Amino acid sequence: MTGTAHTHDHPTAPMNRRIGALEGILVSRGAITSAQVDDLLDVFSGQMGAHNGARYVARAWVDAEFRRRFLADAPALLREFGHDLRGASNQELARLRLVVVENTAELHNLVVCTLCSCYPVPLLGPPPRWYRSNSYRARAVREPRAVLAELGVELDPNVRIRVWDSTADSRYLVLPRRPAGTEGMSEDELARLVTPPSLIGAGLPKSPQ
Amino acid sequence: VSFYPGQPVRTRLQAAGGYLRLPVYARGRTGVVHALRDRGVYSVRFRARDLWGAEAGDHDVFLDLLESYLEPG
Repeated sequence: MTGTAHTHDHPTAPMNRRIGALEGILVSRGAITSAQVDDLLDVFSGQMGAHNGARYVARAWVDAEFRRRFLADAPALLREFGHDLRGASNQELARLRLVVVENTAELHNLVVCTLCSCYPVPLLGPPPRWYRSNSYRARAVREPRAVLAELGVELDPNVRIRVWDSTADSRYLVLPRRPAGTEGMSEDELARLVTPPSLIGAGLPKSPQ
Repeated sequence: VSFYPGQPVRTRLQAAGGYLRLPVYARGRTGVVHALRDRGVYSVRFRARDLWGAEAGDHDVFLDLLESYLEPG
């Protein structure tokens, strides 16, 4: 290899090589196994994803009692339904201290973590890069209306904004408004309209069709 | 000291030692207790203008704060 070979690498290549080297050492010394790494990757990329949060939201849209309990005591609901709602069976769900905040015609909620990158991971998967950016973390608490407009969420000036800065153990999830024109849609169809950003108020659910 | 929902509180400028999760922008500011989250952890609601002055928007910011960060407002 020549001394300039690295200039052709993808920007993430040095980090990937470092992680690969660390994994190789840990496996060769018997600290971990490759199967454990694969399991963890599956937990984070497969089991913990926004499809979980979307299922809870879709159920809340069609079931008034479920919605009431989701808003009143989400952790109790997660303990009860975590293994029933498909794809939401990971063990972290039962330990999640979740607070659900509801968007209405008068109120819009936005979630941020100004100190680090706290995020309801079991229901949403790992946070996206922009959520962890200094810019989003600094501006979401200070000028949320401008940030939302840049994210494509144009709010009526009369809509009040609440920003939830995740500074302790609670994690926040937004229950977005059900899109118009979805009457009669099934829970599965509704769940497909729920986007990851809409679950923290940084986007809106998709419109049908 | 313990606080109740609706009570005005003020965040301390110098909280006790240890792991501190009180953002700089919310130090020495006045808010209102919104809810009790866990034992000794309160959700506190701040008006944006009480955090950043009159030019700030009219939104509210909610933070989960330990009892030791707070004093009656």
